[in-house]
Amino acid sequence: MIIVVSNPKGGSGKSTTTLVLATHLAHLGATVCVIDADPNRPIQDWKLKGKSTSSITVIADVNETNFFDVLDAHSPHFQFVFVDLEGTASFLVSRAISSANLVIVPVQASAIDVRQASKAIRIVQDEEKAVRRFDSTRSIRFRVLMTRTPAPGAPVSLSQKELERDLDQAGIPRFKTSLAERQAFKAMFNLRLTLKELEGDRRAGNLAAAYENADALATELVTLSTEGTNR
Amino acid sequence: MSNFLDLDVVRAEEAPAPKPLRDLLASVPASAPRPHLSPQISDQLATQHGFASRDHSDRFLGATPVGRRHARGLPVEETKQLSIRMPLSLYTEFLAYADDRKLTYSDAIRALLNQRK
Repeated sequence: MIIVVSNPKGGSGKSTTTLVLATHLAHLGATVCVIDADPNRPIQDWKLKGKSTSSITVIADVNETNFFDVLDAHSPHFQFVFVDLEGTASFLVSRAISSANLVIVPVQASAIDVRQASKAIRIVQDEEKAVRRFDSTRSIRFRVLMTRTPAPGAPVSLSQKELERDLDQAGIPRFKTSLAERQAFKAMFNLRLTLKELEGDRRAGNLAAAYENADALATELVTLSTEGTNR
Repeated sequence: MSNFLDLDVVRAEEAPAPKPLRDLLASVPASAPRPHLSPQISDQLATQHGFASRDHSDRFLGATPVGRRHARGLPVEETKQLSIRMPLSLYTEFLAYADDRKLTYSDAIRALLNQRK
């Protein structure tokens, strides 16, 4: 399954979403590849400079020209191929979306994030129309993912409630699970380890809650991937 | 005592226990490459949405804007990097040769090779 994580707005949580899902699935035995198409190479940096023993494969040398070739070469070897995209509106983004089974659009509860997310959603819909011209059964699904949300039980901001209501009214599909603002997710990048590998490290905060969050999100993702309407 | 004792007990249908993620993963096949949309069509769509090329390697292959000098390093052919260690005296002499003639280092090598012909 090719999962593209895209929002032209930077800082929306694309790399965090990618790393959390990819490492969690790999930890449970899935074969996972991450194509790090962000020029800052956060996932490659995590893999190369850290000491994590996670089995995820990271590929970073991609551009608009070689993207399809890289994808074709690697995708048959993995159950999950994540593409972590740059926070810009580039041709690489649109090409990646056209090849996706699922596009995850991470969104924070802010007007800028939502406007940029709309841009990503519109292009997903247009790319899907275009691919259906030569394959009528093909679909590019997408799901909005609320990121940096308050931990369960904490007060939810008005802007987040409004965003959720707007998404529901517009019929925009979204993950039921959101990715909460957690110290553990930040620690994954800072210490270049997986959630499991952070066990016993106080800097990770409430690790059990973060693990539960990652597991719920990954379960929703995998359930979606096994529904089988995509080709 | 309950007033509803004579009613059949209505048991809510128990939802099946969700499968653990590890079990679900076993049913996920390897990713299959899918036929790609033509890059031209994809780029055309992207342009309509305000997306642009950010591939710098392609950008320099285009025409040079009128009235502007050619960008240094304009790849008229494939390029390779050469990094060599040499005595300091030779290094100084080579840099002086290039600087005196206002040549790039690659142009200076070209000039020296041409002298040999």
